[in-house]
Amino acid sequence: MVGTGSYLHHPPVLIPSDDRRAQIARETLYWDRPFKTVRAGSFETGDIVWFPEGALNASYNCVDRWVYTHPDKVGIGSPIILVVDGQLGTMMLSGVYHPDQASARIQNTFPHPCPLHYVTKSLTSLSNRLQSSTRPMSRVRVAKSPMLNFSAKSAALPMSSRVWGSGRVIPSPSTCQ
Amino acid sequence: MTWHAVATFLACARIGAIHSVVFAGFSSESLRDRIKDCKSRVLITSDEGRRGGKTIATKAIVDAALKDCPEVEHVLVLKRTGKPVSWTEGRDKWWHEETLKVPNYCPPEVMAAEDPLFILYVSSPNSPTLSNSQSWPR
Repeated sequence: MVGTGSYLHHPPVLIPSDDRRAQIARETLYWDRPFKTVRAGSFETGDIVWFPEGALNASYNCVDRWVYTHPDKVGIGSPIILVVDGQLGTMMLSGVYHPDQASARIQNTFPHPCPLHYVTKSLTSLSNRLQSSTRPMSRVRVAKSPMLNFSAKSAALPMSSRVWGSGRVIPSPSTCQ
Repeated sequence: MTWHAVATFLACARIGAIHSVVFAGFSSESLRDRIKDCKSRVLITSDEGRRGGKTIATKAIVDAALKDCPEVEHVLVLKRTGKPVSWTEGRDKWWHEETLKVPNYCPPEVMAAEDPLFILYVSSPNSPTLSNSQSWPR
């Protein structure tokens, strides 16, 4: 995507226009706050900034988003498999996304800022669950162009209580199991 | 490296903490320089590492590095091989114990696109050059 491609055996790589960059950014990432500007400043003056008004979370974009993009294949409560050095690790998104439970549970249980190991706890508990489960493992499938389709109503809610599409409720772990 | 490392990167990104990954083969001096460079407050490691059939005493390297780094408040230690390691009460915490104390879910922190995501050194250990990568894409 980037670079002038001055490799000896490689043709130059096309640098996308800012319009194309904006399109890629909108299609491949979930933005909690949309950007207005693709870039400002320049490499020459050393003050380049990208998508300055935008706000997002890398972990949400790496993991959570895929659960919503493929709710039939991977849902809340399904394991997401991490394979590192041939070792199997797992993580999952737990059921506090359920709108009925979300606000109360989150307000009650999550101080600010969150301790570092909240996510890792998911990994540990799921790892234990997987070992005792006969249910086939789901795998995160990477789509070429994930189109995020949150309804306007759910987009106004905090990220933790969003629902997929037109008011469809993500099942809580109890309904998944 | 275990999957716990990847989980840690993601966990840091989730709460908006900046992480700096340090290769387990580095000396305690190199580790100390990197800790001081970014003023780390938390260090996450394992009792021992395995690489290429060899065992690396990562916790011992960490202990040596942290002698000069009082600003590190906590060390989270993953029990990898189970070999007994030296322990600083109050500072050191076991991964498997701490993760049992917290809820399963952590809401992601909303970060500005230009906020730092991680710190990666791109040149030799002797003259570290920072590559301070923003939230992607880059």
